[in-house]
Amino acid sequence: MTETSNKPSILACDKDVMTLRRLEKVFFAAGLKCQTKETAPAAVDFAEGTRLLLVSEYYLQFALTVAPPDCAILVLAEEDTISALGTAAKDERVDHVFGRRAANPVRPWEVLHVVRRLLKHYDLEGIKPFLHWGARMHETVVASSEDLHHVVEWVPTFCEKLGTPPKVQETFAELAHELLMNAVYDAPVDADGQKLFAHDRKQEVVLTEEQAALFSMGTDGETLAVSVRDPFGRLERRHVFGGMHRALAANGQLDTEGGGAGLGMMYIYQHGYGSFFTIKPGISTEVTVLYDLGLNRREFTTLPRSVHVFHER
Amino acid sequence: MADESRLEVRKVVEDKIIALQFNGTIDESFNAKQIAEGIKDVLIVDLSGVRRISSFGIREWLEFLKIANEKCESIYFIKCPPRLIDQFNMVANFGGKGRILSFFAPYHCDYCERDDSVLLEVADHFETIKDKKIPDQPCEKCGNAEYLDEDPESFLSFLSSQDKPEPDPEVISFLAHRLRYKVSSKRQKLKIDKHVGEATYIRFIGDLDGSFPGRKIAEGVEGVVVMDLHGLGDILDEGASIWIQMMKTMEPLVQTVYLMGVPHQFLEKLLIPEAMAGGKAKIVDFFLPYTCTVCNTTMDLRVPVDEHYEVLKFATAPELPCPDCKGKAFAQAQEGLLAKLAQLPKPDFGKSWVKFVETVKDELKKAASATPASVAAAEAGAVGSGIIGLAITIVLLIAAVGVGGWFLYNKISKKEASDEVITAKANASQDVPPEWIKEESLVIEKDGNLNIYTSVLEAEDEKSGVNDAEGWAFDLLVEHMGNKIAEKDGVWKAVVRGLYYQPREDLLSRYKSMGKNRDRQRDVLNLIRDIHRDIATSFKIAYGRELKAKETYWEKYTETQNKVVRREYYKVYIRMEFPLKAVDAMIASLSERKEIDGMTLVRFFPGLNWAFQKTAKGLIVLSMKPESKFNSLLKPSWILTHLGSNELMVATEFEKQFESERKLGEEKKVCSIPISYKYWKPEERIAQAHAAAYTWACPKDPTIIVRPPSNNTNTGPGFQGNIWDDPTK
Repeated sequence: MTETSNKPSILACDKDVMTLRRLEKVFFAAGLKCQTKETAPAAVDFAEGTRLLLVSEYYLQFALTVAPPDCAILVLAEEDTISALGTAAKDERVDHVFGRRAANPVRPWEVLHVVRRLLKHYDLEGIKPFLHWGARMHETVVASSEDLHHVVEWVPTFCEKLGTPPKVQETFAELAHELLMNAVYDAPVDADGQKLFAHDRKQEVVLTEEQAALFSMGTDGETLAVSVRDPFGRLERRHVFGGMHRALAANGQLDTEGGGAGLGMMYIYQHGYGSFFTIKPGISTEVTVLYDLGLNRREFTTLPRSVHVFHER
Repeated sequence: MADESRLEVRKVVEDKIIALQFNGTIDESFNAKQIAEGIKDVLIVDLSGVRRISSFGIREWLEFLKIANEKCESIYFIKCPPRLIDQFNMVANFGGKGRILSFFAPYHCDYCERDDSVLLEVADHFETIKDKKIPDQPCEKCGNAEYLDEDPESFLSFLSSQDKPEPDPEVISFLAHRLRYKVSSKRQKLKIDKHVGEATYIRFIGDLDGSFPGRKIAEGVEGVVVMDLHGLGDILDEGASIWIQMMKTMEPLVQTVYLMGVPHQFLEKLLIPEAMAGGKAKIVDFFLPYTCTVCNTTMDLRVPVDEHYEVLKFATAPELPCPDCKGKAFAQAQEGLLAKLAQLPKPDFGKSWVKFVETVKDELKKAASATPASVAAAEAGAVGSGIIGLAITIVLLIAAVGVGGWFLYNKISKKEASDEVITAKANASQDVPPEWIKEESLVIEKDGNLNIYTSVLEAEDEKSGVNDAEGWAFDLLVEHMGNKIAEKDGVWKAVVRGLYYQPREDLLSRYKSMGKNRDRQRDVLNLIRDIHRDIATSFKIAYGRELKAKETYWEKYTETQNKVVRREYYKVYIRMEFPLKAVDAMIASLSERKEIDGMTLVRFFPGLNWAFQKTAKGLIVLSMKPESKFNSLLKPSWILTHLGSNELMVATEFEKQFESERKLGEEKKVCSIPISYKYWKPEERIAQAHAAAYTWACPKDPTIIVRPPSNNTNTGPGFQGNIWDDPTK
């Protein structure tokens, strides 16, 4: 998907002209060529070499019918992400949902981050790409259930120093716990792909150096980022979008009957304004969640969330 | 696993009630079956110590709730932290059949950037929770309003869907004595249940205050009286003196008065000879605060006088085992009180009386869960078939003072059955109704006065009727003045009246739409009463002195069905008088404008209390010119409450206060003046409080900059271009 010709590799469709102007500037900054349209995309708009379609949710259903099978569709959601996540759960071309308030432009860095990653294939890891230069970051290897609990207990202390409200401190401890439980208990498999520890989450677990997870947490004062990487790469996009959509579609009353899958994804979705999943099948799965320290809880609760799934080799 | 995260569960058991206090994290270590062991009948879960809950913990919790739902009759959650409120909102059946009694709401003060966690009792805030708009609270640090730091729509979605929790008296008593927890932080109106059989059983639930109908209770009692004080809350001085009077009245009529479940605050205030019916009152058991030497828990423990008589008579409290850990617990009582306890007579409260009390409590429980009509029917059936086993006629009197009047079921028999309700006047404050009373609310100018006539046609008693009627009179008076100002001043009408007109209309139409549903109407009426009180306070501040009813008149009515008095109520009429000259002076003062640098201000108008509760002072921004220095900070219709630390009240003084603050700021080199204000959010129908800062550049002192010699060029080795294209990365 490397940009080689003079033809634009990106098509952006949004009924809001201001959003399109802004996107044009963002793509210019990134040295990328972009074609913009205020109307719905049509089949003729997809020139050879158009690899990405950035489309508002308003035009999404048109886009699904005309976009080529190898074109990645990036959805600019309108307030509510339920429908976009539902579409992503069904259509493999949709791996990226940008949360935005109605009539507000998307976050430029987020668009740039996703588009450049898709087109230029950067091998990004950890939380460094999400924080400003000079940010304070911690990384630690989590090789046992004991390590897991130590890390979870440390998280509120770290958050407290940032002046975050107690609820955010415990929220992030919960999130760290959720991500690490997945990495330590659910992800590890043996050579035959059989789960090693998922059957009993109450047992004490010790992982080998190759099986250990990497936990990262950091902040630049504006954004708080948490990330967990496991060396198995077994998460699938259907778990992400399917779980989130099911939980959100339950209209705030998630039914845990039947296994309760979705609860964990709901935790990830709700605990940050953006969640980034980088899946390298058989190699690693990394989940990064971002929280905006500048928002109060009330603003944060109603903020539309972004979800991005990257498949990399 | 780190110790801090481990879940600790403290179990407090008393008869059929079990309380579980969780401390720590609900995660994979949560063992539903083990924790649910032994729970029965009533379960109380104190969640204040829960720090976190994981998704796996949720699954285990649901398992625990499943068991609890099967085993328990009722489940109550107290002190739910916000993280768990999120789960109640998000996960279906997270609370099972349980009810949340209280929760911590996260608050934020913009003024001092402080987060707060406020424990809110659902019973106290039921109406506002239903409407999904919890009121602002005063910040503990700066006193300005702090607001709910959550989206109320989503945060209150579960809470607003649950019914008003009304725990049984036993549960209230258990919470008070064992967990030292009050179901409501507000005054609890006293509820009295009375049952006449072999003896007269009277149960008190709530606070003993000035509304305590001691005289009515004392009337007609005879023989043995058993007073159950388990549910008694605070004892106010006024209530205590009525209690003493009641006991004095009872003295010649009764044989013995047994006092059961006497709380220690009662002992401290009322363990005096005057309150003991001339020695006829005997304390069966009482509660004292005890501290366990092992687990260090402090709780109220029951001390049966009969059992510990030999110890008590030496002015010593008995040593009791801690009900939680069985360690030794010692009483925390003053010597003076112990000396009084030493004088207590042995109560000789035999097994037959214990059985009598248990039977009556069961009966009252059944009666409470049935409607008044069905209670009457049930009682009739029970008497007819002799199930209760009482040969004499049962007289069941459930007195629900302040809740719905008095319900009296008297000599119910099938022969006398008739559904007709007869209403009759029973009493009046004077024999002939005075000429001045008016059936309709009216405002009339007469003899140099403004006369306001209001009435309350279904008051619980004469005193509350007069209070309510005065509240409505204030409302009419303020409306009258508002209309007068609005006639002359279009801008005032649009801004000030525009602020409170709709909230007032909304609440009044809600009140009217409740029709005859007294329970629901009572909740709205309480809200209106609060607003009327606010209006009266604002009025008093604006006028300079208090205004009361000039004349009052009341009539007492009884509603009888099947010769049984079903309800008693009062019609109360008042006339309020206010000199016309004072009306004109107030109108002039309340509408007087003052323009300061393009911003026009007027005084706070009492009618605004319909939108802004607990506010009595302030200045309203009436208009703002674009060139005003305040234009970027403040907006028309905002109410300015403070300038720095000064309360704002008079428009003409704003400028002086502003200049004084400005001068002070420059002296201190802090060139910023905080202005606190409140504003109305029509879409959410709530008042918000915020603060803005008027800032300016402080005059600079002359400074001499000495630049040290440096060779640092701020450049270093390495790639200097776009970091993304760094070839070394």
